[in-house]
Amino acid sequence: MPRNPRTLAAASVLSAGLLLGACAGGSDAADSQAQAPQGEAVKGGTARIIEDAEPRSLDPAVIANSYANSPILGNALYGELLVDNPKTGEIGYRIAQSLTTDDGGTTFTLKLRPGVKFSDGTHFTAAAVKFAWEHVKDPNTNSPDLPQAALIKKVTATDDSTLRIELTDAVPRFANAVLQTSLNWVARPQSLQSGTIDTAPVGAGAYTLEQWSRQDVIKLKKNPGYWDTEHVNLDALEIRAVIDPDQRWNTLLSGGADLAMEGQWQNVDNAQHNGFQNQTLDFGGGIALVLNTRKPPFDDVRARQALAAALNLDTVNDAVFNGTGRVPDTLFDKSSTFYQDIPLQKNDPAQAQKLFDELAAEGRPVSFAVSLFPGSSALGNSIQTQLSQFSNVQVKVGTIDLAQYGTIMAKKDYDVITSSVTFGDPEPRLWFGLNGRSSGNYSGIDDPRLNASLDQGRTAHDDAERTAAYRSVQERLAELVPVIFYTRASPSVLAARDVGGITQYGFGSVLPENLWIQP
Amino acid sequence: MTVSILRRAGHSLLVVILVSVTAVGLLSLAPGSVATVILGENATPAAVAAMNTELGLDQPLWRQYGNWLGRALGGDLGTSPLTGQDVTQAILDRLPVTLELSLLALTLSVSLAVLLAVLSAAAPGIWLDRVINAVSSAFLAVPAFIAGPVLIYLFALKAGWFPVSGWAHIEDGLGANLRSALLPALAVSLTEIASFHRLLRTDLIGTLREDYVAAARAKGMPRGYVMFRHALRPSSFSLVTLAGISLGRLIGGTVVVEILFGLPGLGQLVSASITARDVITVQGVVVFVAVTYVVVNMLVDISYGFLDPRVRKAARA
Amino acid sequence: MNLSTSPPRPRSPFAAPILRPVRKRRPVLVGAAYAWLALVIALAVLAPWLPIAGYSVPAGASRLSPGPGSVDLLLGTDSFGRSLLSRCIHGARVSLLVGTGAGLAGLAAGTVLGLLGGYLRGRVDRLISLITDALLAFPPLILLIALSAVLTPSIEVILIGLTLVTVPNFVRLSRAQAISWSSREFVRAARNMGAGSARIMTREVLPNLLPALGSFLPVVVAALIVAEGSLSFLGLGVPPPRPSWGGMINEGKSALATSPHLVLVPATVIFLTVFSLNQVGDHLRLRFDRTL
Repeated sequence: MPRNPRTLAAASVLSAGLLLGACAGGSDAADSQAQAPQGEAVKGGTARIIEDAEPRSLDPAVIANSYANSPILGNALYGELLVDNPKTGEIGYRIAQSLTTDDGGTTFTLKLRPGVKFSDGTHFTAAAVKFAWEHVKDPNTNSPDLPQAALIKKVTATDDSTLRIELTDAVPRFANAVLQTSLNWVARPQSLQSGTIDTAPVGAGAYTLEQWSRQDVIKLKKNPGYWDTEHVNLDALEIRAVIDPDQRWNTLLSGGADLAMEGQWQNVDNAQHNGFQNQTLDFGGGIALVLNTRKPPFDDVRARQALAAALNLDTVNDAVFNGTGRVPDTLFDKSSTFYQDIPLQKNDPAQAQKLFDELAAEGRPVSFAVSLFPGSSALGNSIQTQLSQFSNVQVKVGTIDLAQYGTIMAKKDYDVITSSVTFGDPEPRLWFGLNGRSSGNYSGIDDPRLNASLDQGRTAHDDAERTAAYRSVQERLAELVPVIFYTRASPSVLAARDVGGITQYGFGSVLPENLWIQP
Repeated sequence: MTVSILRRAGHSLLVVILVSVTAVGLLSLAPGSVATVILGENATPAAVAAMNTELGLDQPLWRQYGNWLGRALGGDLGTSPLTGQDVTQAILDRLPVTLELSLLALTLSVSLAVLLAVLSAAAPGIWLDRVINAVSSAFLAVPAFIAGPVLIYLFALKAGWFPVSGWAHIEDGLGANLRSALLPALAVSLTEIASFHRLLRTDLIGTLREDYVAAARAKGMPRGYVMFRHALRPSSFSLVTLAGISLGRLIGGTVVVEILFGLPGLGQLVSASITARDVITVQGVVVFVAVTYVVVNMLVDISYGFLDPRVRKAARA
Repeated sequence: MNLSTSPPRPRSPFAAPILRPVRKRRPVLVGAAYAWLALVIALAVLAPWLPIAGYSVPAGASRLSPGPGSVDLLLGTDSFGRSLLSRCIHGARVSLLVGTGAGLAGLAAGTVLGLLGGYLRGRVDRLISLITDALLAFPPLILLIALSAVLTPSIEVILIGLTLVTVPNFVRLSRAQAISWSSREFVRAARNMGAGSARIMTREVLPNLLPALGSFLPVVVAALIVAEGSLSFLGLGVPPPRPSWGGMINEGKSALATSPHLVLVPATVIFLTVFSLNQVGDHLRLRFDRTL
């Protein structure tokens, strides 16, 4: 039949179309990172912002003041008590005027800037801060910042603008616990109590809520009563949460947004190669496979060492992040004063196999499940593929059901999960991640020497003493392997060329009041 | 006629109730509850129990359902324990997106399918018909999860004609709105185009063989005129029917593109609610979609009975 | 979801002559469709004995483009260095198992229910119609997502879910056919001769239903493969490292710009398979559905 080839060709018109389109791709990488626009900040305009997660509620306690959530939203609605310079660790005061201790870090006095008002015109008082902090501390609030809030034993408002804070232990760097979390955000108590927080939140931020359509857009407009209103540049913000990293990058690339919070190396790399601005903080620690040391098989240090030796983290990086991730060799980033060249783990397949065999011979075979959040199956696949090269080790990959997450974590019912142990200054986050007394220590490691070193790093007053303490932490960590860091975190902001005033503080949080757009 | 309509309505009500019972029953079997989602990893068993009592989740299932049904019949679908949002309001917020997406997909499918069907029925069997048939068969084999990423890649990223994700509401301008809706609508409409084309082509070929069409041609009427005036018109009725059913299907079937393109529609709402065990919201959306489906079907049935003399006669016989 | 691509009314979609080519056959295209399906089935069945790499072990560097050299690298490798050819072949096992398994289960259950309803009529018929309509009114993908929340995703769960989605379509088809056959002379004759209902249904009506129902199977299997793909695409499919075509697209879609073959290879396989199943389905219906 002479006509048939044509019919066949027509039938495959679609797949041909797919291939043609595909061949055009991947060749136009212009390797150029954009610089921020020069000159004076421009007033006016609307910024379209992407954040990485949509909060369940506008209650500040559940918004999460970290790069991977919606920090811009929290800052915009509620303002900031404190900020810092993440490079130097220097504290800056915003709604708070001072935060001081006179007993080495067990009690603090917080002074508020006079004359600050909530967006409904009422006064911003010390009592409101007390209410907000106790709200974060209440386990029923389910705030991700509970570990930090749990440092607080008691808060008392001694007058309208003064707060006395008693901590459970000496934590000289308590300011970090405030400015890296939602303790930095205070809503008017009445707004939380009356249940109107999601429709008409009242805070003391540079912006107020105009409209929130869930899974769609959060529209904010300038708050004329903001304490520092003359320095606010943009008239309005439109914030969208885009959870899928590809969608996030594609939206920015196609001009669908001006600025995006980012937590994926691949997108940071994309931005660098496509003429976008990129600011990334160099943090220590990273995203880790957390091994549950409370139960078999990882209660045995040899099983943990075996897994660490078996995994080639560069291969994981290639598979999961297309090679754009940064595999941590050491606990601290080179830019940190506490950096020591103490390798965290070494890829050594022969040693790994020896340990796997040894454990199997003892009747304690390494068989475990990796529990991952939806969307991170690549990591599971990579681990599974690598371990398929070894014998006497078995790994299953499961997805954590969101509805069961609370139960799983409460019962410590996992072998391996992923979690972030990321920090600029190691205090207080490193302590939370690894100290035996911390509720945020998911590996359950409780080692006397590690605990003591972390405590010492916390309370030490001079840098030499801290350096010694953290050297000991690094040595102990390399021996115990409670966690396997597979990449540094990427607390980043990506933006188009015309966005100015990008300022990061704390845990990768960004100040919306400083942003401006070149017309 | 009245009796049969009433019986039909009773049947439909039962169908909707059965659907809602299934939704509740299914989710109640799922491990975890919305209370554990709200309270998270720091929840004590006592706090979970207290929250369950507060939400009425400690009552027997049939009583929870009964309470819900009583209120639902009065139009109140309850309040989501997770977000504190009124479910009816949540549905009304999301509906415009899903509805517009479905209607746009439908318009695209019908208009393209009519064009293709007329072209291929005009001279069945010649090369044009065969090419169109092959293309249509090819469309039928391109599900939304394949069409979506490819369309994004070609028309949003490479060509830059459409946004990659997100939704522009009609208030923000019709142009922007249509631009944000077109790619996702196209992704779901490929298979619809194919099924419309298949039906319409067969229909047209059948009609064109009827005597009155031959008579019209014999009277010297132009080919195009006969095609539109005499052939397409009778066929358009079955097309309308098909469109109604397709609409019912699309409203519950845009989940994949809503997720892929990040559109705030009913599909996103329901899949997020299932993950969070927000039974009240899931129930509300599922019942809403089922009611839409049933009502559309019923209307199609009834109107068919009224409009098509053959069916009217058959019903009497 | 595409289980009822054509309308139940004005004519039953399954009894309707959906595609009646004027030239009755298109041998090359249909032949190619049969050949493709035969190839896919053969490879899937023989997968464990084929000289190809395993689906969960690395076969080379990551994201290699398709190219000659070795069999395993013929279609390239994925992000983990696993052979895409091997994963496509092993993925076919999942897709075909799920598709035909759920299709046959749906066919069996649907035929029985439809036959009972269509032959006995009355209350039985009303009850069956009620259940059928309820299943049809439940948005299928939402039902599947809810099911995978109830039970951890696995092949069994997906089979159950897809069967549930398939049954009502077969019930409708089978019922319509049963009604039409029940009024035929030979059925009435059998009844007059005193044959019981059970006997008439199994001996007289059922054999006449099966060809039409069976010829509808390929189209249903095609729809089910798409449904399984959609689920895997949403991350609710078979757990890793077992491959499935939809899952492969999901895994590869983030690399669409740099390594498009990660998506295009499984997408083409799905496309060709669904296309072939539809062609074969049309062909079978032309031959075996006597209402056409």
